[in-house]
Amino acid sequence: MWLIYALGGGWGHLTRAIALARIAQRERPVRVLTNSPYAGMAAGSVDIRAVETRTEATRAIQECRPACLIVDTFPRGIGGELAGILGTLSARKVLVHRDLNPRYVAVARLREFVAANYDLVLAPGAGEGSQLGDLPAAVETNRWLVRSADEIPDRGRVRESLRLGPREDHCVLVCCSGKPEELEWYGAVVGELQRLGAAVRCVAAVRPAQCPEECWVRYWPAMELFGCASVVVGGAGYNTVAECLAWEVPLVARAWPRQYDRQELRARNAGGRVTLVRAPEEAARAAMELMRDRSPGAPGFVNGAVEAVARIGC
Amino acid sequence: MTPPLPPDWKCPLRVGFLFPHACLRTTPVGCPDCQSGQIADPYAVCGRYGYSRYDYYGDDYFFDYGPEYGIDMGTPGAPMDFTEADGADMVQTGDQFENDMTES
Amino acid sequence: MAVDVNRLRKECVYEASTAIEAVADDLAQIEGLAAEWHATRKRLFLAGTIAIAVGCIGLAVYVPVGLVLIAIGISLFVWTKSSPKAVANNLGRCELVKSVADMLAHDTAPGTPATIRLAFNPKRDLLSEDVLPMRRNGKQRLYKASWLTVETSLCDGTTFTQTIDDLIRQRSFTNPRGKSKTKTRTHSLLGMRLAYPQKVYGDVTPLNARMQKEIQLPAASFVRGIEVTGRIVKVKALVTQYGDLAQTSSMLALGVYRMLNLSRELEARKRAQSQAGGAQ
Repeated sequence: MWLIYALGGGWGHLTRAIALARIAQRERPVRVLTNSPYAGMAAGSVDIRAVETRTEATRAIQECRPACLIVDTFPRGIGGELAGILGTLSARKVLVHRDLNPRYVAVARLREFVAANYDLVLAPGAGEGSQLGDLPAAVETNRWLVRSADEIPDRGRVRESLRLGPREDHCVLVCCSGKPEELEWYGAVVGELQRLGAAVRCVAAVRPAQCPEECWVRYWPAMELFGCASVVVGGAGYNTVAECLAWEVPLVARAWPRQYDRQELRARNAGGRVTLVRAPEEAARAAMELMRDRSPGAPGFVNGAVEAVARIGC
Repeated sequence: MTPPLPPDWKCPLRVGFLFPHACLRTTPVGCPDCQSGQIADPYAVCGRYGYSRYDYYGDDYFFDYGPEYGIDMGTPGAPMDFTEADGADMVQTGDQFENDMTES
Repeated sequence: MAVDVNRLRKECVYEASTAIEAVADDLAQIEGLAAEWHATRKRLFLAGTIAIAVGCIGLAVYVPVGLVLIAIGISLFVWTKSSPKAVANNLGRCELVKSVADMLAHDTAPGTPATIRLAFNPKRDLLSEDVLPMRRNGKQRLYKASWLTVETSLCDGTTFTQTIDDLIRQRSFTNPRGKSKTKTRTHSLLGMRLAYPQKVYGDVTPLNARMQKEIQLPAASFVRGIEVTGRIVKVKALVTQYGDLAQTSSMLALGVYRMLNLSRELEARKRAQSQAGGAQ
């Protein structure tokens, strides 16, 4: 069995873990550990175990006795709890190296720790592995996506899911992720876009207060809907940026402050394809300027999760 | 014997918790901030949890925003005290990491 | 008297615009009322119990009297509802508001009014509802309950606003023995907004990054967001231990103001530089 440790707030760690798990579980059992509040919405066919505390996480790992332990982002565990047990596990250990705050890397001496404890370091996309990507065990893949190009539903189903009118080919898609208290910002963006006359849909687990019922779409994963998005407004977390770059859809992004992730850096490294904003009004105006017609052809992006599974082997 | 205060006297001491401002009381008698005149700078001695030297900023605070804001370092004998801002960079305790399981 | 006793009894809300020095008196009055209502509830409950017990015995002796006593007992139980428990159960909120008012009193002109809204039994807004994986009949609900708003003007011209919202996670499931279980965890989101005068502090935006590093909080509280514009500073902190709310509030304000005070100093130096330049 492969066990993926994906603890961390919001959607990001869980989505990346599911992206890997879906491919890997075609050939062996895979389980994901998470403390995301959205696990229920995203589970699908993947075996997900909810854990809350450091003790629960370490107990779940020890009970599972995996052949391979894949740790997303936090080499020592998000609460430091893995530091004491990695040495006792005979499993192959793989680190998924999403971007990390360099101060944390320095303070926690992560270079030495990863070099000593991990067999493989996978950077899921260019730019993510800047801190540890030069270690001998490090490999960079394409970005990991929770759906491959051949899994995207046809355009008719997407239009239906978005409840687009007969004369609407595309809409502005506001994709809510991150922390519950950030929902207010997304709601304000929806309000502004409506005021500017845009066709807008808001994809969110919970409807933001300012978002009318008819604009709200509760759907996961949002990337299945990007074929009908003229522009996406979202955060600058790993998955949103990766999905928009894969679809080549313009992204208007708010870089949220995070303890470990550098969202603004990620957005700037994406070149001109991500527009950084702060205020909701600014986001709405940028979205209106960047709206473009999209060709209705099938997407052709590469899912780095497939290569990642091959690299992990075992 | 303490001389009487002039009729238009207003206390010039600095008081306040978040920011300094003039006290402006008309008498120090019974003042809880200066303890009836016992404390020379009530604002400086006010307890502020972990913010020791709340009112002090090292030179780096000013140089960050343009060297023209700094003190004149060319003056012989200019003080070169280390501040807690320097110390914070030298001693990396990392206490703020690995505390919150819901961070990202 | 600033306390609207009827509104407090019916809606468990204290809302007033009163001098900041008078807030402590209002809160003391609320604490007194809570104690009074608690005593009244106890008396009514005891009387109701006795009435029903005697009524049950009375049924064996003389049915109409027994029935009347039982009806009186039930009425007494219903009457206990007029003395709400929520105020007494959340008296800690009064202590917190007193602490915030004390902090603000140091930096407000005497007689400055503060607007306060304190809810002891606020409405819970459902934020999300999901299935709880790996638990039988497992459900997880996230709620938000807003219970405090305080606003006042400080003597430097800043308008200070503080809010507290509780984020409540409720998990319900059936355990292996077939019993329904519910586990609740509450964290508080403390928000602060300071609309500062630019003529005193200049534009504080360049100090945004520094402010994030400067703010110190108790170990179980975390800064959740900082936003600085040319006119407003907004900060939010997540407080996981209820007992840390008062200290977190003070420390958050201190962290912000340490940077505002630096900005004021920078502005003063800038002015001195330009005056010196003009004189030359």
